[in-house]
Amino acid sequence: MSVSIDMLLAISMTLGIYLLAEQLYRRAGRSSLVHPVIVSIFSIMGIITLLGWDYPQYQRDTQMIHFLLGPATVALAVPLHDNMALIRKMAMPLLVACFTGALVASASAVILSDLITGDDVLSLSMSGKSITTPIAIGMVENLGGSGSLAAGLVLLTGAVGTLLLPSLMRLCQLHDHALYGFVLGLTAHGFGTAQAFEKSAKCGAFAGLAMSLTGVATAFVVPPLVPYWMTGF
Amino acid sequence: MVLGFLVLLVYWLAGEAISQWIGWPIPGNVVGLVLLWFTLTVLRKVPQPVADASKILIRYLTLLFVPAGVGLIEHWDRLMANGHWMLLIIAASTVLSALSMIAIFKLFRVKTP
Repeated sequence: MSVSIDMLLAISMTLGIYLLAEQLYRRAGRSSLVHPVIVSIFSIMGIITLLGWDYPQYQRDTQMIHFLLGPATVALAVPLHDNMALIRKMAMPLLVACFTGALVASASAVILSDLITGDDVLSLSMSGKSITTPIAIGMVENLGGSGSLAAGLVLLTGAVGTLLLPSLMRLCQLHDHALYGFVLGLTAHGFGTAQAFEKSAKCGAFAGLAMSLTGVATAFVVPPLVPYWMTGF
Repeated sequence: MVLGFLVLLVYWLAGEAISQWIGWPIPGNVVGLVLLWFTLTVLRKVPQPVADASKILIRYLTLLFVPAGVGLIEHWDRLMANGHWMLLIIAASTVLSALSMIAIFKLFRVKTP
């Protein structure tokens, strides 16, 4: 790997924009509409368009950052291990709820997308929409979808989830903080977990647990099932 | 710190090897995650170097997927053609999934201490 000016420029720009986006997020009261990832992605899209770079070049230049997603995903085992202690007494019902929720989230998105849009790449990428981005990218790329599209759909799901879920749970009268967090983390991954931590520490811990469990459960169960959810496969 | 990082890389490597060996389309890093989770469950604690390395990677997890996210730029036509459907499908799927879980909680009368 030879270091080029372009590469240093691409990496510095990515880190710089991200840090600025984090500041903006803090100043804006942590609203998920200005989530640092969303702001960073769209700002960098604008900048590389203005500079006349193409995405494959930017992708090659920032491979070093992308590579770290590998160990970072493995590292999710640590919070998962810490949080598992929380559910010892009610592990069974929560695991059943987790598998059901994960399957419904993935299958309904793939089936609806296949029926409505008929776009195979989009439908395959929908399969990971409710799971945490690092796992979604790897799973969707293995399936033949697009990792970038999957990342976009995951972010959209997070934003939509944090907007819809609080009213839905009020409607269904789910007040238990732990269960409330579990639903938020399962359907809206990191976004939901951040919102759950604003409610209470317990709510946040259960959301974080649901997020990691769902990521693992989905990555193991969903890939072989996806072909059966799509017509013409 | 470097030791912790090495541990994460070796688990990732083992995960990739297993995933290729069984030919199941699971990402190797998720298999590595599960292997490390089993190890931690057996050890009943998190060794300090692993805890340190994980903490720093997870702290900046969102930064790590920015390069992949920028790739949405290659799907602009798709977003313009089907963006409204994507939003609708995601909203419907989120509600369905949440309702299925809430139904299970009510059915089994799940309560937390």
